[in-house]
Amino acid sequence: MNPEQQQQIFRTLLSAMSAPGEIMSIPARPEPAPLSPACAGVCLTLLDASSAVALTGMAPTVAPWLNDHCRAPMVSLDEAQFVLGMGKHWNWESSQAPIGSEEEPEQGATLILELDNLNAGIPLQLTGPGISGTRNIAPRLGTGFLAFWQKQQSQYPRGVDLILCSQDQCLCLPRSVTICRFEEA
Amino acid sequence: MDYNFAYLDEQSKRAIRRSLLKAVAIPGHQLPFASREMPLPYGWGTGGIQLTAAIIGKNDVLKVIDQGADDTTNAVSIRQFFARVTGVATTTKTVKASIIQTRHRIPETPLQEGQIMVYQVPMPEPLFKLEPRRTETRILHALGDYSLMYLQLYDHITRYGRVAIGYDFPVMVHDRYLMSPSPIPAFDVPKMHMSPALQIFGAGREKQLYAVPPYSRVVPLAFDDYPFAPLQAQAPCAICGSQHSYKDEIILDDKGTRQYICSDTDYCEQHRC
Repeated sequence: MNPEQQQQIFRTLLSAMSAPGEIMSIPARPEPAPLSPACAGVCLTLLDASSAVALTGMAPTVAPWLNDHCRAPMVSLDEAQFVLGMGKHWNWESSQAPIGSEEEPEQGATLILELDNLNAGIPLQLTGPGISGTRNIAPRLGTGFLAFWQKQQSQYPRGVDLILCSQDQCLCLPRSVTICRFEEA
Repeated sequence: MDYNFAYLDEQSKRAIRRSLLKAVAIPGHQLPFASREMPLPYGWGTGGIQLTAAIIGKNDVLKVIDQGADDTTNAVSIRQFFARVTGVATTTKTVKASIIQTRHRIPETPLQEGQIMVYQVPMPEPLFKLEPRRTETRILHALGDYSLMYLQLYDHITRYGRVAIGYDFPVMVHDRYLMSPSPIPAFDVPKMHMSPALQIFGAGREKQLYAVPPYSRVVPLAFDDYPFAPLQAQAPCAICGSQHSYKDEIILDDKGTRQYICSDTDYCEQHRC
């Protein structure tokens, strides 16, 4: 993927991180990859030899592909800056990903999760920075996500940030956002 | 000689991009970044230039201001620099810009969703004058202990009868971090609160960056009985007549005759006719 495409994908990610929950299309279509086009584009844009990555539950072809294209060092989950995983299998009850320290909360990992779908899960309502009023989303995340997020909120500014990918779309959930279940009135 | 697009190499851009995403996720928190040497000295906007270089693309329209003006040395050279190393379109009109790099002002024209403000920051640490040790200020930020700054405001009130901070007024971001808004006048601080634009801040010499996402709470420090009250010139602009803009004071002769004109040149031009 060329630098121009990487710049476009980064700007999409920057917009997505600045507008939590808004579904954005990843513009450029990268070469064939063992990941969804969105997830592959995000990896090719953000990862290189100085970003430690951990994989959980990914296909065995992903690690060699990442090594060939990004040269990202593979590390264990508790040392990772970026974690690639499958949204529906992610274990929210006992997440091992680093959440940073009070002094260096930026050491908290970015989870890049592959999802079947960004709008067929349990309806959730977001408030917080980047959102004027409220925003509703329904990504299909595994059970225990809401409890995980509420626990994480109590540890703010420590925490993890999410980039959720499905086909050629993504949405971001930075740790600053408050999430509750959306009950229709 | 041809430079890489936007001057910085791709690996440096990627490192800044990763830090920027984290900065947006933790509003107001300062992050270290691998600040590179730039072809101009520290203090001339190297932090802002590196952030702009990391985000800018072919379709962007760039505006650069220095104290509100598009035609001062720093603004002209940075604009020419990016025109040369990226070939992007530049503008002086706030409404037409997708990226606005700024030194010490926020445009008078309200910002829009999708625009990005890039601030040049000389000293990112708001507690610097009260606690010079970086190791200590990091702990104070971790604890959210900003009593030193409140004490400073109280000290001002007892000495001067008001909070005598004219620029770089300390603000709380997302009710968590004390942040330097960069040396913008206190007059501009309310424009940061719930701004629809993304605001990012780069300090090249200090090697720190931070961000305020759109629609974030940015509240200047104050006391209930001494509310935030920025100063403003009590005269209309001598060129366009605006009562509402922030003014520069121009000394006209050696008898102290003075004139006030808009600091924001684009705003002044819009209001002239």
